[in-house]
Amino acid sequence: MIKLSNVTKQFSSGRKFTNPLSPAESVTAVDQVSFECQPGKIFGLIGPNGAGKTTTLRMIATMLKPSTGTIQLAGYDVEKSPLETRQKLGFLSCNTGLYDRLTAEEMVKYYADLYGMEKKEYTERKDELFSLLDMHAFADRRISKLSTGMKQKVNIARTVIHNPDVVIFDEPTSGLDVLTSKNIVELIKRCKDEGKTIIFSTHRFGELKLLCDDIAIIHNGKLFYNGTYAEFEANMKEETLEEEFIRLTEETA
Amino acid sequence: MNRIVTIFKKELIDTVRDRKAMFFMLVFPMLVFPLLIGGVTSIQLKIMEKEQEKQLKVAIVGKSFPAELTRVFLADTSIEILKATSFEEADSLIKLDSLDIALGAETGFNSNITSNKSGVIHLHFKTEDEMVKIIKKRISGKIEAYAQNIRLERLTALKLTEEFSDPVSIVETDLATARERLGKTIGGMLPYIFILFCFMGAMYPAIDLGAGEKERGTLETLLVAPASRMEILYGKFGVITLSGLLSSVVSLLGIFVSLQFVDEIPPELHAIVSDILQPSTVILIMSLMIPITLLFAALLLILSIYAKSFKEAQSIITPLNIAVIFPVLIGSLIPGIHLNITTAIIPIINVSLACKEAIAGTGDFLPFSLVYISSFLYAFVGIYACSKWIQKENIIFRN
Repeated sequence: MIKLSNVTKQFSSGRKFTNPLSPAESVTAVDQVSFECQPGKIFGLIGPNGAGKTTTLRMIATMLKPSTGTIQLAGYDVEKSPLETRQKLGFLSCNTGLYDRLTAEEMVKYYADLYGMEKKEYTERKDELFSLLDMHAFADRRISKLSTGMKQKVNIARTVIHNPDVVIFDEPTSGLDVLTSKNIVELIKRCKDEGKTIIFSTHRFGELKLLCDDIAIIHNGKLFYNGTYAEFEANMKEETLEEEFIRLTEETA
Repeated sequence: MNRIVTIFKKELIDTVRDRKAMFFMLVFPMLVFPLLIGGVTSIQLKIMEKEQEKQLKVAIVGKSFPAELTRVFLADTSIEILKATSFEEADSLIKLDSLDIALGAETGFNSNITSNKSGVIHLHFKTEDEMVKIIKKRISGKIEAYAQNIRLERLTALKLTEEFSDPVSIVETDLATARERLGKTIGGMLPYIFILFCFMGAMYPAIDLGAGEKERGTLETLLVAPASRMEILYGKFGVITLSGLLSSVVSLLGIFVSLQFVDEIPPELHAIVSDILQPSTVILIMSLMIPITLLFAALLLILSIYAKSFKEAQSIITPLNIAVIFPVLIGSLIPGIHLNITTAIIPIINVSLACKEAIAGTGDFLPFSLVYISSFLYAFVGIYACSKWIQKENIIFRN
């Protein structure tokens, strides 16, 4: 489970050029955001570029510290117990890269070692994932020699090798073609079936409808909708999801 | 600790498989000394031999030039005597490189010589490089021999011995051993190269493991793995430091290779370099490289983590190159700066001076200990600054 309570994140934007002695100005990227993601459910976070989605997800994933507020993940306070939190966490984003000079298997093994997996546990889990994703054929090939689709599979295996309770996806399909994003969509569904807590941000409204149980809409750092997807769809004033999204963001602008 | 080892092992594999890094870390340092020692020595020897045997073009200006000396020049088959009516004409030929040297005696030279006075001979030449000095030496050597003959004739006429004109003779005894004399000059160059390779060898992996990780988009996932930022730092730091030290060791191996395979090394230089490369000296030099490489690794990682891309890291690190080369140059190549209690605490300069002393086989205990203490202290401060730096969100996620 993930629980955010009044989470705010401010970034310092530096001192004014005209007056270097002035106090550093700050920008509020996330403003008093609270929501809960339940195990076995998919939580979608939607918002335009710069809305605060990535910052929110990075705070949940312990990469950034909230300025105020608290975040609970799988029973841990993420700020107080970052290492324990990360042990329970898988993270995949559209910008996630791989080490070109490692082989597919070395890449996955590196993360398994970082998660402190035992050899037996790792071998079993790796075989299971490599079979599921059809990765055995290129397991020993260097990542630089793999196609985009193969790389995506390695990334997926890396994300879930330690069988995390919570999986965070930050616009995971952005920039991918339909076939490659299919792997991600299947992974998200599988994670749900396994009872994991899933949070993901996306721009693709089709995925939202296809996958999400709960959604939250964020704009200018503030949350202005948080509820089930079914409720959201039932109360739509526009015909399509895109139009409804534009209407809501313009209303709050 | 396990995670540090995991990160270290992975970064090491990643670096070893990087051909560019391997070239700068191992191949290039290995080639530098054989190329420097072999190449430069053989080229220089060949040029000098060529100049010694070179057909010289010498002009004798005016009619006062002693006939005896003219005969000496004419007897030398490697000298071609040209005619010039005046020094103006000869000078213009020298400027055009058509003439090497012009000689001319002042009016009354011969009568001055016969009346036991001093005669003046003018030499005109153009010192463009070392070779002109060698040519000048050949010519003036002949004039000196001619003058010596006249001196002896004059002394014999007065029934005096040579001792009359040389009342004092100086006998020099230099107590410095060959290692001490050449150690300080060669010793100036060696630390310069060793320290530079510590820096260069560490530079490429530092850029790749810091900014490269950001550029590839792998840093984000690494930060989500249950390794603390300090564990990540130490893992990377270990590989960067090891790379710098390896580069330096390989460049030292290059010296051994040069000694084995380069034939043209003058025997004296060969003996001294072999003398320098004794196990105790090598261990001392390499132990001095440890703290300085740790400091370099910390500085490089700080800049590399700050940069958003490989390219930006390279442009930020370039000025640091100069900041490193400059103190090393001061310590290594400028004469008159020695290791003492003050210079022993100036970062980078202290290590290059201590290396110089180690190679010359000199140096006192106190300044040496100060070099180690201060260098490790600077390295520790660098690592501490780096550990604070890696915790900063606005540095890690700098946009």
